[in-house]
Amino acid sequence: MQTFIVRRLLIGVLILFVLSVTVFLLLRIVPGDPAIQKCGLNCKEDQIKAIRHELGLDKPYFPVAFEGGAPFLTFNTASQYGDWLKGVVTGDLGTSTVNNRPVSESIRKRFPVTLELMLLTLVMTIFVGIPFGVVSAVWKNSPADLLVRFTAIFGLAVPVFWVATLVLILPQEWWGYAPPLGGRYVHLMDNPFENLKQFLPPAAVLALSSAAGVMRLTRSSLLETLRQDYMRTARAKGLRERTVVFSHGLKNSLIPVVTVLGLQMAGLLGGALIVEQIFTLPGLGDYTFRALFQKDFEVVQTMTLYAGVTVVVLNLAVDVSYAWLDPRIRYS
Amino acid sequence: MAGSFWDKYTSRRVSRRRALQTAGVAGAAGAALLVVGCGGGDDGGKTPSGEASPGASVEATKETGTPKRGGRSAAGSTADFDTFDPHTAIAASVTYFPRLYNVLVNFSSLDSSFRFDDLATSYEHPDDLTYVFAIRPGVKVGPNTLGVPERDLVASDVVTSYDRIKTLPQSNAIAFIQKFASQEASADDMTYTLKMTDPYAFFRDRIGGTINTIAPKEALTEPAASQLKQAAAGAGPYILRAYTEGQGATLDRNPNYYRKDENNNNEQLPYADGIDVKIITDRAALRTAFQDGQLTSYGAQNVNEAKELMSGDRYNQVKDPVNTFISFAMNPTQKPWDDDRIRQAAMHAINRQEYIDRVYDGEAKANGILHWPLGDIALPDDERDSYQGYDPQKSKELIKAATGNDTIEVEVMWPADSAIEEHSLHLPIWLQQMEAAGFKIKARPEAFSTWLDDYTNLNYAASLSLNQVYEYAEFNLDWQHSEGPARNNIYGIGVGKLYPEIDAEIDKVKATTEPEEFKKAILDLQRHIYEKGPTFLPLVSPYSFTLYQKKIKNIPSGLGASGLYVNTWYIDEA
Repeated sequence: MQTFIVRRLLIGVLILFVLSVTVFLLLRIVPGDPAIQKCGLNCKEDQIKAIRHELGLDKPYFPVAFEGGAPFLTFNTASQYGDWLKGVVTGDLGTSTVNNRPVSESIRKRFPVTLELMLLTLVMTIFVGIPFGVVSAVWKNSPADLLVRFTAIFGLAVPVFWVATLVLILPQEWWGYAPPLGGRYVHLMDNPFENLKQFLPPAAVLALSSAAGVMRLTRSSLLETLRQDYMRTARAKGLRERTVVFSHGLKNSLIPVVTVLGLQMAGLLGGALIVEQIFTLPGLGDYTFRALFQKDFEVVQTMTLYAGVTVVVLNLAVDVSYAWLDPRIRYS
Repeated sequence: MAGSFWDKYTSRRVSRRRALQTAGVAGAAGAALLVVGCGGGDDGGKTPSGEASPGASVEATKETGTPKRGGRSAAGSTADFDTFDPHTAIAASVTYFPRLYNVLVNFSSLDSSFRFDDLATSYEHPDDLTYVFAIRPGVKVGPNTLGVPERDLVASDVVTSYDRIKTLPQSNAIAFIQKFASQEASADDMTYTLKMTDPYAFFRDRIGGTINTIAPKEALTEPAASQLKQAAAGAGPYILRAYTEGQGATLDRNPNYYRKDENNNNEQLPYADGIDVKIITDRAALRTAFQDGQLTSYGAQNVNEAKELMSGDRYNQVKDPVNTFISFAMNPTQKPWDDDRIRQAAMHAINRQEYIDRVYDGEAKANGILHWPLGDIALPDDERDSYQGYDPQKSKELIKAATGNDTIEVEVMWPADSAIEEHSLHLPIWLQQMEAAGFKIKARPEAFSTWLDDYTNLNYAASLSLNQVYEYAEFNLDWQHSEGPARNNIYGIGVGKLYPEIDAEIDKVKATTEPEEFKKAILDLQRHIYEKGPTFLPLVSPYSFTLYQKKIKNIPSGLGASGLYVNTWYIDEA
């Protein structure tokens, strides 16, 4: 087991390295000079040069460069990627090229917002997706099953940004209600009611598609489990149907659901980009979204690495949880 | 501020929720967001420097009631504050600097009668190069967290502010301040004198700009200067109480503000207790927040949205001319735009009335070489139309004369992913008009950042460009100059490249400081540019529509960005 985890961690580090180099290069290949964007159209050349210097954009890309002639290799003590990577390793995530504020400080301030949104979404996904999946499987092909399946397909089909915009606009048009928008983030411990007014609508929007996926998976997994011989044996023993379904059926059908939940948590980061923007939640998604538009190199690089770390860790956690959930599974 | 939610169960204080509910909301700060929404820019008049005049009264929407004290406004901002450094900030910050800092004097680009004497009570202009400002006593710095003493601003603060701009390469107003040959404060620190390197016609326009505001010298030096990302210290009508990244800023009334309302028994200004600025990037969210009463002002995207929101008579509306326009730029160093006839053919291909009718539902006006909100320094409508009037037949004749063919293929680039709705609406009309006039357009749509790079590096033959926000005429003229608006020979080379006499005339206009001479010279210059075939064609400039909750009264209007300096608006919760 330990060997497995160490091996997966090493592969994870390699993936993150490749990811960081790719994002670093892509950001710089795409046309658009952040110095010009920052300075504006009427800037003079020396102003742009000064900003490029201030942002470190006048340094070579990598610590090592391949030259056509001699010397074949050149080593740069200061480079954009090298400096950034060194900063990441030492805990200095750099400074935003747009507002000159430390990226680590911004992440620290914004992380609780995204974490709460993710957790609330996860809770809603579990508490909506699994029960409705069970209902759908137990009463297969009933009107309830059809309704749940239709809702699930709808949830999977509609894009998040569209649902989010409707959830924002329609209650205002119909009932004159809108969730608190902009302004100060209210911490859960400061005022839970105001906090939930801020977080429930976006979490519900995010949970719609993830709960739909969990519901469909729970249904199919439970249906398959319910067809197993040991389920027939359980019923033959005279166990109550509730016990058969929940104690024997559901428990055994949850392994793929756990996998999907783990992956969905990673995927939710992408949804948060849009939802935080629309519901004006000052989280990491909103931070990344703005950085992408403003070509804020340091922020985009760091947030991509952050997303990569999250995916790698969640995947590892899911794999490890298999062994815990199903003792038959062992890693070598 | 009250403690946590749970405190109410232990201390039985008024809950935070109730406190928030009873806190007023309102916002005149958003009034100028449309005007300066593209990143600030200067304010100023449309005529060259003049002598001090008695303080002109503030133009505002007239209200019959007596101004009331109290309440808070709430404005939405689609951009975050990058810093509160008065000299390097961009985006939302610049819009709020007139609230926090001071200028010597400000003139409106839209209303030539408007003058706001701020830190200077008056100024003299004894010769073409010299300006002498009398500093107003009692312009006192407000409470702040930077450790700057609450003292009166003096002439040496002006010297320090402008010196700093001059030495910071990334400062926004560096090009203007570099025109200063020298500056000094008098021995008693109550007179500020500056000498320009050359006579400069647009001095009045730029001296009161939001990008060169004046802060106390202690705020501009360490250790305070490095804290300007989060804090501010100034003698403007408001002080910055708090700022949270990605969330917004809280501005409170400056208890030390010097200004009184002459029209209301010299009552202390400002009337509102404060302004809450909320960062709301998404436009649907911005509109919803306004409709829900969470914001007190909202800049409608266009006239149709304004009409839709105004249908229920729930809001007040302020309609202002705006110094923005979409333009067509031609590069005279590339064929076929080096041919006067082809540029003139493009000029006659444009039917501005169609944009006015179809894009702005009639709420816009045609521009000439200068945009119409600049007033009487732009050519009169009839004369302008006699030069650039819509005439596709003439376009075809000019193309035929230049090429021998009925049509000509031209490559034109434009930003394909513009977030500005008007740009996407202009594009098909423009394409159709050009095709109808004999131009076969070889389309070169580009991602915004690519377009921006190419646009600033003259990597194009022609471009249909995004909204420009030019608060005064100088940039329009520089677009016709061989060195371009950035004077770097790269960005936007103009017709002066082909005709050095145009360059000379532009330079002469920019150095004409006597108002009447200036007006005559700039009108003549436009005529001469038309005769040569302009390289830069502003299309139309619209009106903006800013909506306010009914409780916001006495909203300044018709002043452009200068409205930000006016603080006689108030909140009537009744």
